[in-house]
Amino acid sequence: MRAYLVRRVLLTIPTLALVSVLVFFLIRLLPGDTAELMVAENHYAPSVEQLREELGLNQPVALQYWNWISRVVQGDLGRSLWTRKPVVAEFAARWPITAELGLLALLFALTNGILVGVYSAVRQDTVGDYLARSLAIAALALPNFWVATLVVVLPSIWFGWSPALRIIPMAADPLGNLLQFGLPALILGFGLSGIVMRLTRAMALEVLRQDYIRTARAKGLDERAVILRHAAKNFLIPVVTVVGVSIPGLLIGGAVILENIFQLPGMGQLIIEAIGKRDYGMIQGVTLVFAVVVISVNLLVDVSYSYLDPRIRF
Amino acid sequence: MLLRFAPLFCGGLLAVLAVACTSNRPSDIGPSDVSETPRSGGRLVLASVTAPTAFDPHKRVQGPSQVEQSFVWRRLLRFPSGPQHGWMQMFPLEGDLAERWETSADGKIWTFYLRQGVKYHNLPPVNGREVTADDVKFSLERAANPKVNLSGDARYWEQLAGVEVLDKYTVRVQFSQISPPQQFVFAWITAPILPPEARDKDGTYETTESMIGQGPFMHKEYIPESRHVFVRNPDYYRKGLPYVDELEQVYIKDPATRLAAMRTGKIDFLAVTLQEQKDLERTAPPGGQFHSETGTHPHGLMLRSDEPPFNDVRVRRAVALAMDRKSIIDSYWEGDAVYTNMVAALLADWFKPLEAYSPEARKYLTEYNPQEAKRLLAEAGYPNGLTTTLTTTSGYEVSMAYLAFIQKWLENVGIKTNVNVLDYGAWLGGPFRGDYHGINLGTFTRLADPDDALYGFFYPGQQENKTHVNDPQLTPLLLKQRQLTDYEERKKVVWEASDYIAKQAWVVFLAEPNQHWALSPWVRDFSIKTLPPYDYGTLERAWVTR
Repeated sequence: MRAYLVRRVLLTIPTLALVSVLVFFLIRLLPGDTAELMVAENHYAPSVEQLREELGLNQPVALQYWNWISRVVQGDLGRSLWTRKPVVAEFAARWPITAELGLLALLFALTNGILVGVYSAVRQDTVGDYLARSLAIAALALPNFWVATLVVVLPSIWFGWSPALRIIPMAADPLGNLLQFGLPALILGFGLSGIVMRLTRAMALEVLRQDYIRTARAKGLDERAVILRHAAKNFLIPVVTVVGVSIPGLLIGGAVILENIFQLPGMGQLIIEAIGKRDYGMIQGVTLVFAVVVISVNLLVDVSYSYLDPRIRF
Repeated sequence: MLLRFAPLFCGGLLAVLAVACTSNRPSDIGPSDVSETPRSGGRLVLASVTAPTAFDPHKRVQGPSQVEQSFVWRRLLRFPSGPQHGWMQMFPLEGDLAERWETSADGKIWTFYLRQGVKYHNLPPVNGREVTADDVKFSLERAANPKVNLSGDARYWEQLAGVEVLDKYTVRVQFSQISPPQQFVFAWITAPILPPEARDKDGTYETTESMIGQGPFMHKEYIPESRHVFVRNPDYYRKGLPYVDELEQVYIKDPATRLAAMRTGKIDFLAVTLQEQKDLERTAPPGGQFHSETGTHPHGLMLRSDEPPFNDVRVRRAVALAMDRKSIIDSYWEGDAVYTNMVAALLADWFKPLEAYSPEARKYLTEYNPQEAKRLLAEAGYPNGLTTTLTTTSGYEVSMAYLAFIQKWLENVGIKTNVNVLDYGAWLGGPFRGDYHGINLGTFTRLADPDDALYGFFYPGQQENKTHVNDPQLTPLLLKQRQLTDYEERKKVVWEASDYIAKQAWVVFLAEPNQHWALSPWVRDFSIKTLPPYDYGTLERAWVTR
């Protein structure tokens, strides 16, 4: 296991290197560079050429990449070209918001998806099963931006309620904080919970028909023990895999929209603004951190396989 | 057992949703007192779509920054303030930090007598010291320094010959040449009086910590892309003002969230479209207030006049006649827009009504005549039409909505277009700066003096001359209007230039939609200056009843 972990960690190095190259060069293929934008919109310098020189954008692209990556390996993610603030500082201010939103959404997706999925499998072809399956289809079919918009608009008309406009700190008001993040997290996690629900149901149905389950029941074990001790670990492997690959979409894709609608100044808003402004420094730094998160999550997923199925050895 | 919790879990989630949705019920909202006597206290929350990216007022021109700068910094002069004055009324100018001022007979020398005892905000490192003539000298020279002032506004300071401190409270400003917009620059937020010691370590005022002024509000907290909070300046020179204790600017990008916040009283002021206003009138608690003004940002087609085919006036006129502006006004804007021109209705003192234009000029501003457009194209050597590029940006919702109409109308007269839609960033980096071929569809911002719309947009080499005009007949008129101090004389030249510009059709304006704002029921005496550069410092007189 240790050798496997070391191997996987070492493998992240070329992966991150590839990500850094792709991000660095692809963002520069977009029309309109940072210096042009900064001069056009905010008169940051008398001329584009002068600003390019100040920002080091007049150097050969390969050299710019080398300068940037050399600093990255020393722990310096660079600076925003617009605000000149360190990427790490912006990141530190916004990461907790996205992390809280993502974790709550994931928690909801997993608990709701697994519980309802198992319920649906155990009560196959009952009214409860049909309702649960309909709920799963609805979760998959309803786009989260549409649900979020309705959740913002309708309560404002019916109940005179709308989301808070400023972040309620967890330390100051835990309940207020949970209510503020709970609603967008429910919406964000709803789509993923549909996938988890359907997958859990399908896998649980298959596992619950296995001989070893029949044997467990024949031994007189109660249903809870059968499901938790004998079935769960087996039907959860594909679920864990799906959750692992869904996290990037949940964190980046979903959060961008939900943060915007619910006024949460997190990473999603930051990256969208940075792309709009062609803030190369910010885009590179943030994308690299996202890549680290995604790689780490997938490593955790892989490691969890051996826990869920002891036959799997690395 | 575990499974039994599944429905309970779902129920719990619904309960969370219900709790979230039932807090802050509408009964919390509404005027608590209808007394019309101004009273101090309370909080005013303004919403904006865009957050500022920089704060140095001398360095750049950016609408969202100007709004916030105007809370903090005062100028020598000010536009008429108070609820009795219109939001677009720019005359007569009033003294601000200057108690009074004199102008020499030739208009080149301005002597300002400062108000005594005006203090800066009591924040380090300035610590509430008095505003002096030295600060005025420092600030005006900084605003005129081409190395600092990189904006288009710099052209108003080109003729500054010197600033002389006569005594602690008297300062003399000398220009080498007169220029009518000069009177405005003393009142614009782009020329505030700044304390030199508040500069940040880069020598600029870009950080919010350097926002130390003598205005009605003091910077308290800034969270990028989220909010900027200001508090009442207890030492403000206008005793008793401002009325509100706290002023907050929140940035909300999502339109549904903005409207929901307005509906539920979380914000007090919001720029809205007519449709949104109708929505609020229908769905918000009663008592909401609305304000409308003529627009300031019309959309138009910029025709690249130094390249074929638009270097031929007949082709430009064909484009003008191909546009069915009436259907845009009637259908798209539901009648909530007007025909517009370069020196538009918003510049009230200079406004040239359509009927005052020559019939020929009026034709190219308003008429829809595809047959005449085809004839002009044929006459210009394009009997079978032509193909050109039509560039625009997805950053402007209105541009995108107009695009299909424009393409169709141009095609109707034989002009085929290769559409090039750029994201806002790419558009700013190129077409916005005049780097395009063919036609560029975009929006215009015009300042309070017609010089901006004339000299700024059509004088060779100016930043805003995006149609690349260099016209030997127009250029002398542009210079002449800059030299005249007599209002009537200048107006005559401004109108003559406007007529000529309309006939040349370098810019084909589409429509000027009106602007609308929503205000909470409990806000009173709310008045701002909505002509760029914006001035929201007038909110010192706004008060709330709750």
